[in-house]
Amino acid sequence: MTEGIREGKGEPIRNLDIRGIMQYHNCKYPCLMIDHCEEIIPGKYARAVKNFTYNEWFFPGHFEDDPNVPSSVQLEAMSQTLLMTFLTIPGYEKAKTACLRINNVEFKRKIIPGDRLVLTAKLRTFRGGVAVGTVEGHVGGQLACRSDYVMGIPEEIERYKPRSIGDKE
Amino acid sequence: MQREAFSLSETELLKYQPNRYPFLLIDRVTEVVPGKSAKGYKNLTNNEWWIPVHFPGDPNMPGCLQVEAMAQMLTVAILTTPGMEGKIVHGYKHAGTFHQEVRPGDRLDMEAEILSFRRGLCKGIVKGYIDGGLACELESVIIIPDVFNQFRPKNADDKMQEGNSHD
Repeated sequence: MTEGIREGKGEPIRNLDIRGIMQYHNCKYPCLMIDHCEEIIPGKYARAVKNFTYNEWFFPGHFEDDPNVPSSVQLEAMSQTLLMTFLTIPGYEKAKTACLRINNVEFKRKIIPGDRLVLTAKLRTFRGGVAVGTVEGHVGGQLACRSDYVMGIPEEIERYKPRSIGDKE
Repeated sequence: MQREAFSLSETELLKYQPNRYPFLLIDRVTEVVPGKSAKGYKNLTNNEWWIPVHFPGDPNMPGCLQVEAMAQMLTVAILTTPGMEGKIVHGYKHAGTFHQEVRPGDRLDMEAEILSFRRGLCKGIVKGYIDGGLACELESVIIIPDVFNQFRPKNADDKMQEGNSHD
């Protein structure tokens, strides 16, 4: 999967479990939507896994007689995978992030309890605290969801913002 | 008795298993032979209710819930027999052994086998595997009160009450 990706910033990270993810990630239960990172090239690429089990808070309500994963949860899992591509760059650990734009979202199949969602995120650019990237999710080798993201680190964006005339004086 | 093997998705499992969120600890039943055996798995993820407390900073699946998950797999083998759908099952005696930690991101494969099932009392063995390695084992005796109570010897008090009710 990593062919054609230039060397990123920092050493590749492999097999990051939950304890490792929590070193980079601010999300906690009940909003941590990735379980395991198989491979990360900081600044370039990340592959993560999310297991779905019936014992999650959204299944009893969505839906009672036909549990399946809400699309918003899939979006969250995809965005958290993209976060891993740039929060692993030295100096950005545990930065607070915000989602700025989501484009071209597609949901291709129903995801049910017992499925294993493999998420691959490619970071296209990361400048001035703004990250642009694409994420795809596969279940059993089949494309389940995809989306383009623009995400930001508000603190970093603030530093690069052009100052108004009033500030300059 | 139906003896053919079949599989159950979560939606189908809900018809047989009376347990519900947050205590249904099976995701898929890959092969069940009613009255004989059941195989299936549970996915482990960070988004489960015990993660923040067991333990903070080092999450793993509590042993008591591994016992519960394995016992539930054993009940699937019983509850799929005709006439037993959705019946309440009580644990009577469990002996569990835990060989390794079960962590978020793992898949706990469980294989349950019924040794005997008579008069609403079932003895069985369940084994749990992670990536092919043995993770936990359970020797279990469970009862189905609806059936079990029909065979219970009546004591003197019950007989007296019955006698009174006839008057």
